Amino acid sequence: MARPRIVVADDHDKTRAAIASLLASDFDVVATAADGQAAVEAAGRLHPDLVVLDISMPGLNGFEAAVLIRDLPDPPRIIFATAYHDGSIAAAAYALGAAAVVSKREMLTELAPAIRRALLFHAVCFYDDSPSLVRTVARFIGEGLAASQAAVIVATASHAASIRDQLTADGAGSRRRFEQGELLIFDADEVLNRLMVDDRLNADRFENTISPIVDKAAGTRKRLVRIYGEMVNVLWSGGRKDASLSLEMLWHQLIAARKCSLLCGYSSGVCHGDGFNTICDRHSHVVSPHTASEGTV
Amino acid sequence: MSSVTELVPVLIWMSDADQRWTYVNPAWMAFTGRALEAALADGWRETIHADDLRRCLEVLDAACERHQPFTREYRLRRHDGQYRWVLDSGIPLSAPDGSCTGYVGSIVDITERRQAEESLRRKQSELTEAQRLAAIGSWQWDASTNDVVWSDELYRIAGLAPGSSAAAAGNHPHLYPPEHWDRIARCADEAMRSGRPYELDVEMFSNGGRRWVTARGEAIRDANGRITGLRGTVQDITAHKRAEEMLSNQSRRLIEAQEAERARIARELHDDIGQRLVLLSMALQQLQQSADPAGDLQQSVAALSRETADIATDVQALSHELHSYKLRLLGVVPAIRDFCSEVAARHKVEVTFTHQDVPGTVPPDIALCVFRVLQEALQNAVRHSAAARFAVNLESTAKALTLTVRDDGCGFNPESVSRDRGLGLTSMRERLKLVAGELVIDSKPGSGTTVVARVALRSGVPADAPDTREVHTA
Repeated sequence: MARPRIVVADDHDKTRAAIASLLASDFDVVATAADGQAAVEAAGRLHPDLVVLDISMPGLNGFEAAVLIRDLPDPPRIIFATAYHDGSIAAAAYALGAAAVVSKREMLTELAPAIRRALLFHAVCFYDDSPSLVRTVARFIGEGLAASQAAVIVATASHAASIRDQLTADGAGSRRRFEQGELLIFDADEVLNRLMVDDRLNADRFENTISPIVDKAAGTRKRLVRIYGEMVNVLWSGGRKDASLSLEMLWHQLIAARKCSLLCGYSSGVCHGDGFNTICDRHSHVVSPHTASEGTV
Repeated sequence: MSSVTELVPVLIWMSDADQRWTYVNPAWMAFTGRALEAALADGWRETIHADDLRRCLEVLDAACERHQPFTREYRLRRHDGQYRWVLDSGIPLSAPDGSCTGYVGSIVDITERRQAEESLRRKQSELTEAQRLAAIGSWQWDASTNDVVWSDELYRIAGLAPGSSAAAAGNHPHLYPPEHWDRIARCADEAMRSGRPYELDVEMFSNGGRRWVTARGEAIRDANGRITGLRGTVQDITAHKRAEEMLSNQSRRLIEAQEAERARIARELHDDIGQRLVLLSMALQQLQQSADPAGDLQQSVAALSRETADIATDVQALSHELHSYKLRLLGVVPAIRDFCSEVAARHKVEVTFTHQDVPGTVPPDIALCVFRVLQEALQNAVRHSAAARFAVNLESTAKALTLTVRDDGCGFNPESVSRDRGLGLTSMRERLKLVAGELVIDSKPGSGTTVVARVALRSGVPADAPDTREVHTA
């Protein structure tokens, strides 16, 4: 796999150089920018996989730059590296569609992992009851929709209906986005039937079924896509744990090749002990209910 | 004749054709303390004040020549030696052939009347002088006749010659710029209708320029309480307005300079010193990773790194205190919400923040002003009110943004405040003035305090400023 391409924007010369050198071993830092405007231009010209943005910059600040960057065709993911230790600033950053907010004092240990997690976002959420799951998923999806991203939901009929209701209640223009094909909702059981051949998960069927869905949501502008899926839970709770883990693997390969973020939902009632650990091992991180944001680990 | 004149309290005299006195009545003698002989012929002249005598004789001569009645005022010496002002009226006596045979005169003591007149004159001139000194003109208007009376000072303020016809009621609309006249006319109509007194600051034309005046008016009522007209004063406050404007300009510059300096230091702290500390902390972390894990050095470097990071955090906090980055990055609502939480946590009190319809983009100068007023008002409230609960509300209409800070604490008298609190109030007022806003404080000892700051959102539109100040009169 090619090394991810990164643009780094920070107005402080030494900090900018330090971030670039910090990332050089794992990533290609294709450009550095000293202000928001330069960051937007670099992102538009170079189509990087990810932009690391400082928030406080002269001219366009990081937030203003993020709004322009996320609307570029084939937009990169965005991570904020900031000196502000503040919940409101972080919340505003996530509302802009950021994949993560990293405190500058923790850059040495946190920045590279945050970038990797953003590039291969495969989170899991263990839910106790449907309402908490619905809130978690609606927040994850709604935040993406509000930040010019697209979304795909593959859920059981009742969950899908509830999530849709919640999205509508939360605003985020979900109805319009649904009508424009930027929010696609599928019944987990129906899709799962299409993926199974002789009661076994078929990789070709997965590729031929799921990839077109994600590509359709991304559209010609290649928007970032947030995906919520719970077919794995259907398999797992139906006792077909191996099939569930295989499905996770297929998803993992899919998101590694595309700009999308995946949140998997499992009922905590059916995951005990080893099963819990096995599932966690297949994911980049665990999302706690109620607070799901791309950056919430 | 003599018998009558002997009885009346009036002083009476008679003279012959040569103006020599031939008679005085007993009242004259009692008054002057002189005997008859001392009055007759030219003796009477000795009773007249030396300064007045010549004038008296001139009046007399002039009247005699044309055979006419006369009046003269002079000082007459009383029996106790005191001079009294008297009015002496003479009527010519004629012979049947029409020739003058002399005069008969009556004298009344007018000292008290003179004094009253003198006092009135003095008062009038004192009033004129006082009006001139205070630059207050007065006027009166009779609704039934449409007559207007102006004081001299009012003519001066309006740049008109005393008695100028420009002061006539029908010409008043031309004395003021139209929008100012409209306000006066509205108030005057209301005063005529309801008797409500008014006071408002308006501009008035004067000598080709404009003057700021405070116009006050109230109803005149007749004995039955019916409103028959208006009276009032016009005070020239141009100098005051100019001084105020100058002071405002100075405080504007002061506040702007202070904000610019705060922003500069905050930026310096955050963008430079803070970043360098972060980098130093990073370098120390790297050093720590390369040090021997078993040695003491790694421990020491780890501690240094943490310490450096903590300093970076403190510098960040200081920078924020000087100049809220949240205001700039997040907007006025999140900045106020977080400030309320910070105050609540720091002072262990309850601060509730509510907001309605606040637009996402408030002009930066207004946002900063409202935020600073909130800081001052809330900190004042926490410091002085002894309350444990505070309510902050920010609401917006299309026209104005209104911030309310309320506590149910001990309250205070806004008229007499302690020095530091007074400075706080002044600073809030000055800040608001810069964005055409206003501050209203409602507080009484024992019944809590409400501070309301209102700022117009579109420039040039005053923030629902009431047209007139309430005037409380009996």
